[in-house]
Amino acid sequence: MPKPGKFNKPSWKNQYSEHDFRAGGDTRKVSFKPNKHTYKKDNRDWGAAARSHLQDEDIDMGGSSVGGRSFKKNHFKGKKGGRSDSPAPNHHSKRRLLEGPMGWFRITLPFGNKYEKSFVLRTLLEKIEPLPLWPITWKTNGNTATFYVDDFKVAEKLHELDRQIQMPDGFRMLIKVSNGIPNVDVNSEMKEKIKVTMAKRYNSANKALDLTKFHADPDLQECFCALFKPIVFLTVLEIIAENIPEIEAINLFDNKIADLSYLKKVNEKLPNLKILHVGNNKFRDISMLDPFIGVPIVDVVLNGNPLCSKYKDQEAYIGEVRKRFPKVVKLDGIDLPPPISFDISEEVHLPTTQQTFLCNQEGESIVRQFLEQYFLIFDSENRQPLLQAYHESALFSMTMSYPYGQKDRSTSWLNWYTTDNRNLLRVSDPDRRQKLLKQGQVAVVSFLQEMPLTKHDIHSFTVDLVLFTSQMICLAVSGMFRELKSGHKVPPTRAFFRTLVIVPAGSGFCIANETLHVTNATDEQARLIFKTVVSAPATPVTSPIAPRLTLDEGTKQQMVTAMSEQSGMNLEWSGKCLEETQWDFSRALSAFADAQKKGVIPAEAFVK
Amino acid sequence: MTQIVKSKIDQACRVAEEFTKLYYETSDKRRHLMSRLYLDSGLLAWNGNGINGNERIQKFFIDLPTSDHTINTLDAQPILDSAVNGQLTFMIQVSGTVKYQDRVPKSFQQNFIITAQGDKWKIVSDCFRLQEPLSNNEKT
Repeated sequence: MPKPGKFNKPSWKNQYSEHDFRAGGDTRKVSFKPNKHTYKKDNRDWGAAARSHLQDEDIDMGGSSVGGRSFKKNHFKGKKGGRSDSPAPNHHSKRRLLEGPMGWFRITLPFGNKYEKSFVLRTLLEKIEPLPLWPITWKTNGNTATFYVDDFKVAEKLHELDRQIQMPDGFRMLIKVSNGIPNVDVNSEMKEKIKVTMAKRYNSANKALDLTKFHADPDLQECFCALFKPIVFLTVLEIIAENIPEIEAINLFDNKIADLSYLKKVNEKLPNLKILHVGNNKFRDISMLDPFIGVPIVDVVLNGNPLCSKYKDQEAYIGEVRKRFPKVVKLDGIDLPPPISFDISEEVHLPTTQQTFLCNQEGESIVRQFLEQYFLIFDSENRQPLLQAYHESALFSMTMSYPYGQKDRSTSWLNWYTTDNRNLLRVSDPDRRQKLLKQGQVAVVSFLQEMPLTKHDIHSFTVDLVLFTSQMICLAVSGMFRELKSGHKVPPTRAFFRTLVIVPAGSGFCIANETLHVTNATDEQARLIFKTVVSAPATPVTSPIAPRLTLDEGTKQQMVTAMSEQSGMNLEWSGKCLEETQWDFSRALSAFADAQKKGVIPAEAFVK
Repeated sequence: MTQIVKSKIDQACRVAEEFTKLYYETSDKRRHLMSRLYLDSGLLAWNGNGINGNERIQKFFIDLPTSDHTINTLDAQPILDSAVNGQLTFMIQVSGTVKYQDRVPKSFQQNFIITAQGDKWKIVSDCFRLQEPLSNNEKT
């Protein structure tokens, strides 16, 4: 029902009364002139729809003066007759709606916005049943409502319903149908919507994504997410590459796609795709799918595309498909005889990556503690306590490079690291090589102190313990860190690879040799930084008493402060907690989480 | 003392240059000779997969897809005597890109501990990591 607020424009009264005239029918010609005037003034966007509507009127008027002007005109005469005879529809005499090349139709309801959207849609749906109604991009402008449909039958039916539906206020609904495709512009909000809808349609058990009639998804009706629009398809592909690269099957049925030849590097984005169903689209030639060459497709459905009628016999058809997808064993749902191939598989797989390798299980607790304590200090403002961690004659050197493909892109420059980059491929002068090698714990730690502030993501770490003897431990750690306060607009996400040679010292250990390589995280890596959600272990396991690092008071103080920050407890209780867990930071945290869950921490622990 | 360290540092750099050239050429073109670069008890940790002993390392290399390494950075240090009882041992750090078959090149980082055995340098440990995101199904 009309909301008063919406029609406060001065023209409202006029329009409304014109509406009245319209419904009256008999006085239509009289109302024509002022009508035109009002439309132009108020609804510029109405554009084509309004014009075509007015043209109808024009012809009505002109019909009396000139005969046989055009084919169209005759049709209108017929229509007029139909209208005046009786309300009974006489569809065949109406102007014929042509099925356009794209199969999309714009529906304009010149007075559609006088009623509630849901009411209008319900009314239309009732009239076109059993046909379905998926109105895409419902938009209003003044009294006009427009939307799009993708089904010729629906468009035809709506076309027939023009002036056939009586609304509760007595008016007959005007419905103008023409060929037209909505504009589409993918913004971040729309991308998010697409992503959520895709997630809903993804079956992770069999790694299959069903994008059948994607634009008609109830969750996407406000935007125009038609996959035949390159920008939409590219967005979808991007979302797949970012979120579900393991995907094995895609169903693209009923999306009016005519061409995908603009795609690039599909084999990189969909390296595991085996099933590609693109039936009931508008592909005229199989070459439109050429970007999929190199994707290990074994099952393809092309049924219902114009290209299928191009082949004289089945053999030629299979041949064209196999030329592109040599591994196909199922075409249009029919099993094909397996292709004859060679006994050397062309693709050799890389072994699966493991996050941790320990040459000796006993080393685990030492390594874990060492890393936790080392990076806790390294990530603080004051790295001086690390002096304890280095041998008095320790050697340290650093190299840097950009990851593959990033050098020429505007990226987070690694300029800070270039000065001390001890890359022997570039630095050939022996003196310079000597100088860039930091020798002795003081030189090492003062360099570490100069390095930009960092926050390491310990969950991104890979750990390789490659040597573990009573004399020497060799440990390689890689992972990501955020570089803080280094003058970049956005804190850069870096990747590092450190190798440490650790020797026993007193009751603990210290670092004898260290090489550090710094680079930027790749985009795929950077997306995951600080994203690992860890649930605290239910019961902290008391680890076997292992040799521990000697912790000086300064380090302990830093651990207490960090504990207090993370737990919210005051320093005294944070200290107690660490004391009880033998200064093992992660155990202290999980013990805290545990105790808090049980509610056994007294309130005083949080009084600061 | 410092003079000794100095000459060892120079030597480490020279050996590292020679070693890496040979290592990557062999792994790209003459894989069947890889085992000769390792101690009998040498260790390879390839992306977290540990392989012990030069024979098994040899087999591991044979099974890898064809590779093409490009080195971007190289660094080397002599390991402190206290760790290795005076046995001449170097640590070598490499970064670069590697292309497996015709796939997209990936960045990698690698670290070697090599030691002098008689008149030959041999790999004690070889730690290789591709620079790639950790997959979600692996938990710390």
